[in-house]
Amino acid sequence: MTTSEKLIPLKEKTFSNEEYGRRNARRRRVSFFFLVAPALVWFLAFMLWPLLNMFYISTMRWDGLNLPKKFIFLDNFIKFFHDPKIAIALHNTGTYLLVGIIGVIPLAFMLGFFLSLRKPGYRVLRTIFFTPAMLSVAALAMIFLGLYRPDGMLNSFLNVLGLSSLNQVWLMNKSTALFSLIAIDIWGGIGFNSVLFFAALASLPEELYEAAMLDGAGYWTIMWKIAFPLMIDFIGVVTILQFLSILSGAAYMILLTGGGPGTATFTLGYYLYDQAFLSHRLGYSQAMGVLIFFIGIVVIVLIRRITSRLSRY
Amino acid sequence: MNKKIFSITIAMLMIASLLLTACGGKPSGPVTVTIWHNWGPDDAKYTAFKSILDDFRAANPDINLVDEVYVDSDIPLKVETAVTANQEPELVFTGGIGNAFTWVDSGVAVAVNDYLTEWGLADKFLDSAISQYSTADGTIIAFPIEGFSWPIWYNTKVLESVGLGIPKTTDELIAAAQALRAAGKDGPVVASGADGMGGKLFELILQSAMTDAEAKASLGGGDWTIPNAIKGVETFVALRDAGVFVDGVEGIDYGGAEARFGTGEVAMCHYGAWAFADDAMKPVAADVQLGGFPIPAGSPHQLPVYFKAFSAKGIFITPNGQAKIDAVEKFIKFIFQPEMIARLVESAGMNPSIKDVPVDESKLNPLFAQTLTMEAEVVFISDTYMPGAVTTDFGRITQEAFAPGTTAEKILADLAAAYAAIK
Amino acid sequence: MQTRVARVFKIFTKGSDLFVIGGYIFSIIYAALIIIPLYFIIVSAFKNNSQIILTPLALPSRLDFSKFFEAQKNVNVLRAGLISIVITTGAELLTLLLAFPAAYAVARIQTRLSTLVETIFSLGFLIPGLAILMPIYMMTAKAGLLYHPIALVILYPAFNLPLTMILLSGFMRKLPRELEESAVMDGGNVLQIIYYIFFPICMPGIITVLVLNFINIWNEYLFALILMDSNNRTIQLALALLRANQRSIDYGLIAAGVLISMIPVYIVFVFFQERIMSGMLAGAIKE
Repeated sequence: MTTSEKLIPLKEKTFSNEEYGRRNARRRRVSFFFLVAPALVWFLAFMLWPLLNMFYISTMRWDGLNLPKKFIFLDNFIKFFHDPKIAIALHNTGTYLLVGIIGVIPLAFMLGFFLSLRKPGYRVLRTIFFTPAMLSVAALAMIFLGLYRPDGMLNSFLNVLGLSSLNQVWLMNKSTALFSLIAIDIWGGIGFNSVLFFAALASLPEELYEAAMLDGAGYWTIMWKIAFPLMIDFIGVVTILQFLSILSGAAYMILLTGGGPGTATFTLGYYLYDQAFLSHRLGYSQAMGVLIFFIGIVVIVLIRRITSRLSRY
Repeated sequence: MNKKIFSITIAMLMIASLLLTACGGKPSGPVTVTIWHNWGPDDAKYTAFKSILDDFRAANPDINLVDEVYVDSDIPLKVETAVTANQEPELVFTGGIGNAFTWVDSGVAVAVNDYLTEWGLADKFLDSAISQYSTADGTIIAFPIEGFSWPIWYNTKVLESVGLGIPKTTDELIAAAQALRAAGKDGPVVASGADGMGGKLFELILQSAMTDAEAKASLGGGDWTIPNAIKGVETFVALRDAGVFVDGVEGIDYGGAEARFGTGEVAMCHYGAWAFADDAMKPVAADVQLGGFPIPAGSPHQLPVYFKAFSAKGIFITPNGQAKIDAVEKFIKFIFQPEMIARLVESAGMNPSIKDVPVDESKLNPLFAQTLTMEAEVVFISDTYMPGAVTTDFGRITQEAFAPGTTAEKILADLAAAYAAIK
Repeated sequence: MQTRVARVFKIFTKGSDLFVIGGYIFSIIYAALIIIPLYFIIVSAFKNNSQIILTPLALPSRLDFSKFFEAQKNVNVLRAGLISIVITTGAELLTLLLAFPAAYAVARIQTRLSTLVETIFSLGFLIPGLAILMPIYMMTAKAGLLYHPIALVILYPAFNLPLTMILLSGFMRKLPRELEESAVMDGGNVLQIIYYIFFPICMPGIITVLVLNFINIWNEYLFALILMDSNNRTIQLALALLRANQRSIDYGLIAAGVLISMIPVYIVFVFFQERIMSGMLAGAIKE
């Protein structure tokens, strides 16, 4: 550690090097503490206690907000192994994650890079791309119901193209239901994340690209050889975000398919919602919360490992 | 962001927040009775309900009646949460469905048995209404108020175009389907296979083959080995495979089904009393005749069947309401006066839960008037006895049932599994 | 390395243009995929249900603004919008106030506690809202803040801190160490360093989190539902009420309500776009 990496208050110049180091460490810790304390306190007050509560309730059988709780230890978790719906939920969630992330992140990154080139019209495009994120749940439900209905816009569009044989009951056909919902996430996710990537890429100095272009590199090269390596951490963060939002997401299932038909769109997030709000098995739903929690931790650690290894490249 | 903008924003925020404090909050003063309901401006009952509340306020200046509108499906959660912190309203208008039946046990609502007798209301209510708000051990959980019928709507014009009348049996229905399809039209019945409304049609068809007791045992108790229950499912599948439902029915939702029927192209749909005044139905309302769903051969019923129930809304008294029971008593007695209920019946086509309501026939919605005289048999709606925990699975199973290719065996197996899972 | 790359990818050097053309094509197609549904919502606000369902993309026969007035009359969308704006502004400022110093500390101050603190905040992502509904309701009731919008202003930052922290500290880590050195030369203490140096430089990151948080707050439903009453509805609650009628849904009404609720969102977004530009320009000139 060189001296330039520490915060050196000018007043301390007269001490010996050792004392210097110790005093500095403490001073740093003190500043750290004061800067971090408000946020930490806020966070712990509202999140930590409820988180502990979630673990606590997951060991209970609790069938209604006003009914008594009964301690059943790890029974809720043992139930995971006997509950066929958990396997289905995990399978559906897994598919959703795989397709949802692969479908969004690469394209979003490329689009974000394109935006960061600031070609004419990029501001308009950026606003348009961000629009899906600004639409409320009510609006999205309306749009996609109108799209996926048997007599809706998608089928009509296919008819116009002469592809009426491809008409489906998109949301109620077991083979198309899940992918219809994933498509919504991809549709919104590409736009939203591309704006995020733009914001990150926009902070890179222009000279970086100019130097490469002088050497004759094209945009595609620059994107993957220059921008991408610099953005690996951020890409990791964005991937984590997307992952977590899909993992615990249930909005489209609630609004459009109710987890059906059968169990075609039954995901982990929806199962949690179902057990908590619809079937009133609060203990079991919290156990699912715990499950989601641990899956999330594993994934965050994994993605962090991958990106730190990649960025050492 | 420079300091000026920062401080201006903070200042504005503080001002705005003060304004909001002034606007929000509950007024204090004489006894306050708060009601949570969902009969807002977009509901047919809004005008009549508002007039009742205003008249009550005028007649009771010492009671501060506050009414707040919330989304119907949010109200149970809000009430349950509020009770834990003693913040619940005195009265709650919500359905006698699912979890509401646990409310007396869990302390969210108080039983009204004693109040019925003490306030002299015991004889005023229809027995069928009270029974739908009674638990197995006789506890009455709320005052029933909103009754509804849920008939089948027949577009006579469409049927006449192929020379047919209204089908009364499933054989006639299948014949009608074949005739209509041969004439290039779609199947006679449009339903919302994609959501809960279609599920009720599914139930209705099942119940057309069963007695009420058998329905209770299967839809309520999860016994799907009962022969008539199996027959009900098989009837449904047979009708579906015979093309009785419109194509793509499994993907149609509530609004879509209504729109479809409103175009006048489809012969039948399954809609409740709340839709009588809907704009979407207006174009075909004159051609509509209401009735029950055709019954299969060998059915224990004599006539086509339909749902009629009071599970839509009951007035629940909460612990906070119990603390202000005198004011609550005045309100309950006021609203259940026949003249008051008559307003709701006349303007909104609501089925009254009390007897002897003086209604001006000329004011009634014509479709509603039909329900009073139609030749059909009532079957008991499952709202009262279907366990709350199984309703979402049941919904998903009916969605699948509407899709072509789902066999009766699969449906029955799924149903048995769903009910077994909640034990 | 650049020249080797250039040789290998020679085909793409001219293809700077190829890339740009491809980029435009994809962007335009994608933009169309977004504009069409938006257009659907806009025209639906002027139609009745049957028209919306049967002819979704047709232009309305008349410019009938009655749905807008109805939306306003039924649930007072404008007031709900105002309440949401106030709540959002307050929560955003509070979040920034809390998170910015903390993110700086985690990213720039070398202590072993940094990783620990960051991990603590990361855990916040994984907490499903339902789990904490009850405890927070009771806390709010006990504090006497039930049904007051201030409750949400205090609550939402807690939800948004994890994301804000992670993004801001991520941004800050990348910045060169010289930034602190120059401040030290001028004799600054920590707070001055943060405010005068880091704050402007981190503008893109700040804008990012402001926008992300805005969306989270604006679209939040569950806690607004439980903690607010009908006098203090947020915009989402008001919109949900437009379909409150038990079974029958007026899509035109919903569309009108949605459009009204999007106006502030668009205004905010456009406003902040300008700030991005001025913030980044300032950063560039300083260099």
